[in-house]
Amino acid sequence: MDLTARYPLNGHIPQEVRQPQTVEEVAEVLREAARSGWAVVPWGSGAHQGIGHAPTRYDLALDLTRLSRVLRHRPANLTIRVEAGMRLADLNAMLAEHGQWLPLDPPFGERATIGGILATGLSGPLRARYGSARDLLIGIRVALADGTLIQGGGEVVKNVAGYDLPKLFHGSLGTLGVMVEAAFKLWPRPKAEATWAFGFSRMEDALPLTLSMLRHPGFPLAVEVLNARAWEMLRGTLELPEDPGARVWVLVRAGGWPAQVERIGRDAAAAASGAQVKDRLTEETASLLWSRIPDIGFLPSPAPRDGMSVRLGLLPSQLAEGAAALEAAEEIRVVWRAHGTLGLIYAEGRGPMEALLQWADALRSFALAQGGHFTILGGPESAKRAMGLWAPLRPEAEVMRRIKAQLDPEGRLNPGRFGWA
Amino acid sequence: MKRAHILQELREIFGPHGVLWEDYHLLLYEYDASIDKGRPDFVVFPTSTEQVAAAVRIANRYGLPIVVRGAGTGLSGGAVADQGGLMIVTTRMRRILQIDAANLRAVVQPGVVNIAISQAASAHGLYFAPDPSSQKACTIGGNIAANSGGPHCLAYGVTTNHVLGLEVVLPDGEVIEVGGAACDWPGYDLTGLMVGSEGTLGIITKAILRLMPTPEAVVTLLAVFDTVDQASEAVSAIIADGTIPGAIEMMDHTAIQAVESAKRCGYPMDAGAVLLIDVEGLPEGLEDLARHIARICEHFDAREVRIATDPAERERLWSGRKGAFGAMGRLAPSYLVQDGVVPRDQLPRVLRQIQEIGQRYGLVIANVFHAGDGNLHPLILFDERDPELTRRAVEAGAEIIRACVEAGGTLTGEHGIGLEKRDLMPLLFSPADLETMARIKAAFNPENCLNPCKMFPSTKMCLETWSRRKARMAEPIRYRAATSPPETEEELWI
Ligand SMILES: Cc1cc2nc3c(=O)[nH]c(=O)nc-3n(C[C@H](O)[C@H](O)[C@H](O)COP(=O)(O)OP(=O)(O)OC[C@H]3O[C@@H](n4cnc5c(N)ncnc54)[C@H](O)[C@@H]3O)c2cc1C
Ligand SMILES: Cc1cc2nc3c(=O)[nH]c(=O)nc-3n(C[C@H](O)[C@H](O)[C@H](O)COP(=O)(O)OP(=O)(O)OC[C@H]3O[C@@H](n4cnc5c(N)ncnc54)[C@H](O)[C@@H]3O)c2cc1C
Repeated sequence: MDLTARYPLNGHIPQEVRQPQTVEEVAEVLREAARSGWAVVPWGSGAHQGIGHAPTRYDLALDLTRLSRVLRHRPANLTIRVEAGMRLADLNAMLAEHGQWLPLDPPFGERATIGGILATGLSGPLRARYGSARDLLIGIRVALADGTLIQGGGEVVKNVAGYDLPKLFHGSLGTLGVMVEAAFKLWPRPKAEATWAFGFSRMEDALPLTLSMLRHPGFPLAVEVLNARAWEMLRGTLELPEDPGARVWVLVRAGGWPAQVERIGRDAAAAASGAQVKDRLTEETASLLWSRIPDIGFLPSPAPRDGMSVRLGLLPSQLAEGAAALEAAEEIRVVWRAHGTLGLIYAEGRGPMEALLQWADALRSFALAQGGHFTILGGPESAKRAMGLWAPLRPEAEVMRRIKAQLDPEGRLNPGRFGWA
Repeated sequence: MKRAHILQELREIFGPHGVLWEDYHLLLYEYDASIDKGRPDFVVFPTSTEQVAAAVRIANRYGLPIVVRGAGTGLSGGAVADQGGLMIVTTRMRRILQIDAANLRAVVQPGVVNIAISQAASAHGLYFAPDPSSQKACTIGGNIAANSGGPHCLAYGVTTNHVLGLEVVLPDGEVIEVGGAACDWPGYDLTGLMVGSEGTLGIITKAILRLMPTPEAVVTLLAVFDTVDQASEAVSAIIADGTIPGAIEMMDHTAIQAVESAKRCGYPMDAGAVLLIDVEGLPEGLEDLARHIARICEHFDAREVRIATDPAERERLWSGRKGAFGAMGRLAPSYLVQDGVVPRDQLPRVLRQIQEIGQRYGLVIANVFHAGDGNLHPLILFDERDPELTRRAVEAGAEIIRACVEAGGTLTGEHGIGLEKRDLMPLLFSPADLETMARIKAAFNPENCLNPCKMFPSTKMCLETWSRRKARMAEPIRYRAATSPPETEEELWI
C-alpha cells in the first residue's frame, strides 16, 4: 500500500509522508516543509486526528512514532524524559517494574502516543486524583514550524524560569509546534486499590456521592459516572452488577494504604444512600473495566456519518442538569460518561444527522446557560463547520490568534484546526 | 508639566487618597524583598477592574511603563519599578467574592492575602493549598504572577495547579477572561501561560481558584541528623520509597542557630541538619506511615526522630521554618536568597558545592529549603551597606545557580526571574528559546509597556534607562510638609 494512504484525514491523503527517527531529523523535515511551503500535520498513532476541525491544508504527514525512546528515567527522583512518539502503554509497562506510573488514562490510551495525548489535552478518570497531563508535564522540547528546536520547563518538579511553555503546548492541537520530547513527574503506584460500583435511578440521587468524593481528604483515584447505556455496553463483556432500574452508575476507585482504601469505600457507601446496588468489584473485573472506560463516549477517527461526540464543561454540582439535557432528545441514542468530581461530561450521540445537530445545539445552549463550555470532539467536518467547534468564543480568542501568528506566521502547522489561522 | 497632567488625570480616577506622587511616599514603593530598588513616578491604588483598565490607558497615553505590585514580598525584583513609571498596587482589591463550598472553588480579587483565602474557606472544611512561607503577607495576585510554591506543594502542586481561571487587563486596557470555574476551557491554555508570567503579560484582576479538603489528621516529624549529607540521603530515600509526604523541609546547622535562638522551637542547637516532615490525610494508617518514614530516617543515621501529633507541638516545630528568613537578622543585616532547583538525588552533591562556594567567597550561607522538591534556598548572609560584600554575595549567588543548572536543575523554583536573575536566563535557555518567549510576550504586550525589562536578559535600552534613573535616585530627597488634605483613616496603607 502507498504510504500516504495510511494517513487519511477527512477523505484527503497527503502528498508526502516523513517518518523521522531523531529529533534532528524532525527539524530537518520541518525546514524542508518550510522551503516547500507545505502544510504539516504531526501524526502520533492517529487515534485522535478527528479532534478539532480537519486541517484546511494538508501536504505532509509527519509521523512521530519512530521517536519512541526513553531519554532519562531517574527512578529515585520520580521524573522521566521521553520522546513524543512513545506510546503511553509502553511507557507505563516499563515504569511498572519500578512501582511507578505516569497516571494518565486518556481515550484510546492503548494506542495513543505521548505527543498526541499532550496535543489534544485529553484526560481520563484518574484525573480525579492526579490531575491531567497538564499537571504532570514539567518540560517540553518542540520543533517550531521553521524547524527551530526550542525547550521550555526542565526535568525538575518545580520551575518558574521563563514562561510556562509546557502549559501553552498542552492542548494546542499541534498548531503551534511539533512536540518532540516531554518530561513528566511520576507517581508511585498505590500500595492497594479497590473499586466500588453504585447504581442509581436518577443522577440527582448520585450527587451526594460524587460531591462527597470531591471533598474527601483521602482523594479517591477516580469517580466516574456512566449512563445506563454505557453500563450495558460494558456489561456485554464484563461481569458487572445489573439493575434494570438504574439509569446512572457511579464507580469509585480508591488507592493508597489498605486502611485508607477501606475507609474511602466505607464513606462512599455511606454517601450513596440512594443507590439500589452497592458492589465491590473483583480485582480482575475492576482492572478490565478501568482499561475500557476511557474510550466510552468518544468516537474513533474517522467518525461515522451518524455519530457526533461532544464534551460539556460544567461544575460538579451541575451534573444532574447535565444528565437531563443529554438525554432529552428521544431519537438520539446517547452514551455518556462524566468525571464526577470534575464536572466534565463526554457524550456520544447516534442518530440522523439533522437530529444530532439539534441535540448538539441544545447542549451548547444548555452549557452556556450554566456558565460552562461546549466542544464538538468528534463528528463529520460538515457538522463542525455548521456549529463551530466550541462555545463560548470569547475575546481571548484574539490573543490566541496572535500567539499562533507569532509562532507559526505562515500558518503551516495543522492550519485551521481551531477554526482560525 | 506633563507630570502635572498625568497626576491630574490619575486623581480624577482615583481621588485624592488613591494616588501617590511625592518622593517621600514613593520611597516606600521602591523595593520589594529582593535587593534591587527603583522608584516609580506614580503609585495608584485601584479598587476595581475598571480602575485598573483606566490607569493602564492613562499610562499608555503618556508612555509610562507599568509595574503591578501586590504586597511587595517578591524575592526577585519583579515588583520593582526600575524603569520608573506607573505602579499599580492591588492591595485595595482585597475582596473574596465567592466561596463555592460544593464545588471547591473560590473567586477572589488579586489583593487578597494568601492566608485569608484559607481562613475564609476553613468554615467549610476547605483550604487553599499553596502555602508560601510569606502567606500572611503576600497576595494571591503576586502568587499567581510568580507561580509561588510552599512547603506543602510537594504533595499538592504549586499555584498553577490550583488556578482555574482569571480576569486579566491586557496592556492596552482591554479586559479578557481566560479559563473559568469549569475545567479544560477550550483553546490555548492562556490561564497556564499567565500563571508565572511575572506581571509581563497582563494584570490579574480576578482569580478562580481550586480549594482542597482540609486533611483530617496531620503528623509532624522532626528528624535530627549530624550532617546535611545524611539528611539529604534520607530525603531521596523517602521519595524513592513511594510515599509522598505532605512536606519535607530541611534546615542546616547555620539556619538552626538563627532560628532556634529567635524562636525557641525545639531544634537541637548542635544538629548538623533537621528535616521537618508532614504526613497527612486520613487518620487511618497515618501513624504507621509516620513510623515507616521515621525508620527510613533512622536508616540514614538520624540520631533522633520526634513524632508530634498535638497541634500546639506541631505549630511550634513549624514556627521555626516559617520564621526562618526573618530570623536571619540574628546573623547578619542582609541576606540574598537563591532559589535553584536540582533533581532530588543531586541534593547531597549540590549542598556540598554550596558550602564550598561560601568558603571561597568568605561568606556564611544558611540553608532552609523545600527538600522534597529539590528546591534549594541558600541564604547568603552579608551587609548591604558594604558594596564589596554585596558584590561577593551576588557573585556567589550566581555561582550557586550555575551549579544547580549543571546538576540538571533550574534557576528558580518559585521566586521568579524578575530583575535579579534575568541575565542568568541564558544558562538555561538558548537564544531560540528566549526568542520564542519574546514572541509570546509580543502577542500580549507588543509595546513592552507592562513590567518592561523583567524576566529576560537586559537589553541595551533597559540598561541605559536604568542607569539614568539610578543617578536620579542618588539625589537627596527633599522632604516637604504635606500639601495633601489632612490624614484620614484611609491613609493607613502608607
Ligand atoms: C519571608 C519570605 C518568605 C517567602 N517564602 C516563599 C515561599 O515559600 N514560596 C514562594 O513561592 N515564595 C516565597 N516568597 C516570595 C514571595 O512572597 C512570593 O513570590 C509572593 O507570591 C509574592 O507576592 P506579592 O503579593 O508580595 O507580590 P509582589 O512582590 O508585589 O509581586 C511579585 C510579582 O508579581 C507581579 N504581580 C503582583 N500582583 C499582580 C497582579 N495582580 N497581576 C499581575 N502581576 C502581578 C509583580 O509585578 C511582580 O512581578 C517569600 C518571600 C518572603 C519575603
Ligand atoms: C518584604 C519585607 C519588607 C520589610 N519591610 C520592613 C519595613 O518596612 N520596616 C521594618 O522595620 N522592617 C521591615 N522588614 C523587616 C522585617 O520586619 C523583619 O525581618 C521582621 O522582624 C521579620 O519578621 P518575621 O515575622 O518574618 O519574623 P519574626 O518572627 O518577627 O522575627 C523572628 C526573630 O528574628 C529576630 N529578628 C528579626 N529581624 C531581626 C533583625 N533585623 N535583627 C535582629 N534580629 C531580628 C527577631 O528578634 C525575632 O526573634 C521587612 C522584611 C521583608 C521581608
